[in-house]
Amino acid sequence: MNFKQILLLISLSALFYSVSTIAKPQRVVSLNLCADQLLMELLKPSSLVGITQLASDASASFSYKKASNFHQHNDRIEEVMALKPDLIVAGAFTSTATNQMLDRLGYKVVKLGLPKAVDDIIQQIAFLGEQVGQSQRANKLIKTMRDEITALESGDQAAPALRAVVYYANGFSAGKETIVNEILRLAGLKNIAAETGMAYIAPLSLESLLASNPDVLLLGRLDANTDSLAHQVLQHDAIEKLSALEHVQKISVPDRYWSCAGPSSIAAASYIQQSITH
Amino acid sequence: MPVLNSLNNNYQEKRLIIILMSALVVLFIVSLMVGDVNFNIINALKSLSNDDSTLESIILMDIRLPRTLLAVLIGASLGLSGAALQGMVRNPLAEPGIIGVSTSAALGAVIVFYFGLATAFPMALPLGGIVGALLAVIFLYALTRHNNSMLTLILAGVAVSSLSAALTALALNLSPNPYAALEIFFWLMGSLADRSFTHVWLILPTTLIGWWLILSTRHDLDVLSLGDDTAQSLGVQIQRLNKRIILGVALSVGAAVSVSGGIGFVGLVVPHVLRPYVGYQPGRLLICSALGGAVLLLAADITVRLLATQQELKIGVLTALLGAPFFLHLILKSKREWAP
Repeated sequence: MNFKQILLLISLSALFYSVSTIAKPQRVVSLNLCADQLLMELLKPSSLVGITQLASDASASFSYKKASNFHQHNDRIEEVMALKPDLIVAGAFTSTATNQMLDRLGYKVVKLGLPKAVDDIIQQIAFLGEQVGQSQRANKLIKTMRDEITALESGDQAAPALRAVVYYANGFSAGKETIVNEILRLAGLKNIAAETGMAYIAPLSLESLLASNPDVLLLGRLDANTDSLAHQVLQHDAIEKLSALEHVQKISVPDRYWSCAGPSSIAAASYIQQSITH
Repeated sequence: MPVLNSLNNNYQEKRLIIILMSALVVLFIVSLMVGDVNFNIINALKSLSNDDSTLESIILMDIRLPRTLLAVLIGASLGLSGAALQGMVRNPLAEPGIIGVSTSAALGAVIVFYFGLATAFPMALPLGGIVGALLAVIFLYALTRHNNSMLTLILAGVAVSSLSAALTALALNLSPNPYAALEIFFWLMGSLADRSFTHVWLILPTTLIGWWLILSTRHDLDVLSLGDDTAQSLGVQIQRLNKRIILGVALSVGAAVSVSGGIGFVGLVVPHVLRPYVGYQPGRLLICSALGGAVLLLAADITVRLLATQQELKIGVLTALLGAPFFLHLILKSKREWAP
């Protein structure tokens, strides 16, 4: 055995050792809708043992179809404990009382932040893949996303870019530091709210919306058969009249496309790009 | 001497009506000028008269005008109902908000709105509010008929209010719409933000019928202030008068709450401030109270639009800040009536 072979043997055994000590979690539970959507891409139902109820809600969750294959817990800490998780994935903004309780009980908790750009999303997926021991799957997912982005960017884009404004339930819009801004950029649109200095998700008055002179109006939509005051503002007469007057294209984008940052964000951009008829 | 007095009162009443009308006109114009976007409303009106639609004319006609009209309609309904209820139960604390009529109207509207009835049949929304309001007024009337003390009225009002608020919260939580639970503030505090002409047309018919019913009791209410027996001997049909006021209040307040949520204290403050100017006569108070309510609510709505809060303040917050100390003052003033 020469020196090189010995070295190889040592490094191989070191690798084996490190893999066996960082044991793959066997029972992962998610407490957050966005974590649900990423984990469903990375794990099988046998190792992702609990996701949220929202995950199967077609109006909020992009992967609502996939969610029926997984067990959904009711968000209460007792049921989460009964699932005997060895890793819990929560949002950075999951209510702090729950987070503190989980810490106190000694669970291993991974907290996911809110990505604002494609790079953040990729980083988050890679990190999560590492944590649940599925780096290979994570890399595959990242590659698919990158290919889709390339396809998006090679798609026909209007020049100069069309001006768009997003209007959600309750009259909220999204500014510069949000994933929505990134989605608009990917779709080849200019986000008017970001231009006016809006940084995060903030209310935009109906009057300011009309006066912002958009080419495209992206309206949040909820596929539910009941009304809410939050969505009534999106059907205001004034919006109808303005879009007729100034040929503003209205595109309804279901909430599930932008409720989370992730592969759904790329899908949102391509949905918007395909809906534009200008 | 009494003749002279009443002549004097008549003159005072007319002057009061003229002042309130002018204030209303001024506020109406101001309300059309206040908003996030600054533009010249004369130009907007010019383009409207030429029949061409512009951004400015849309903002004026479809955002600010319906909002202003709703403030006037709803404010008048609240002022009028407050004055009528106070005359009917002869108790200065009767007010749609305090005695729980607004909250139960909100409950009726919430049930209709969030469970899809209003999408199938738009008029169901004001009707839901009206049914809710009607149940509360009838209950409170039945309760205060034989026991007309302040304590009974207020306590019954507290009970009706908290029960309907709890049921409203329950209905919102059971609603299939995920946004519903967050909208309880609207129903309990009220707002006129982003309402449209759809809402004006929805409540206009029932509101006008309600006003007509209440105003038709004007002369009888004055006579009633002399006491049940005297009024009856002077030909007042008390049952008929009560029915009209109950139905009128339910129609106007129920419709109002179904599009604006419950806005409190307008019906308490306005009649109380104006009462001395109409010779303490409940019948003559009605028209002045309606005008005063419209002025107060319109002024409050302009104020919430001018305040630089990130999200618009609910209008009921403002009327409560104004009205609650007033309510306390009224209670302290009539302290001796509390003892049995």
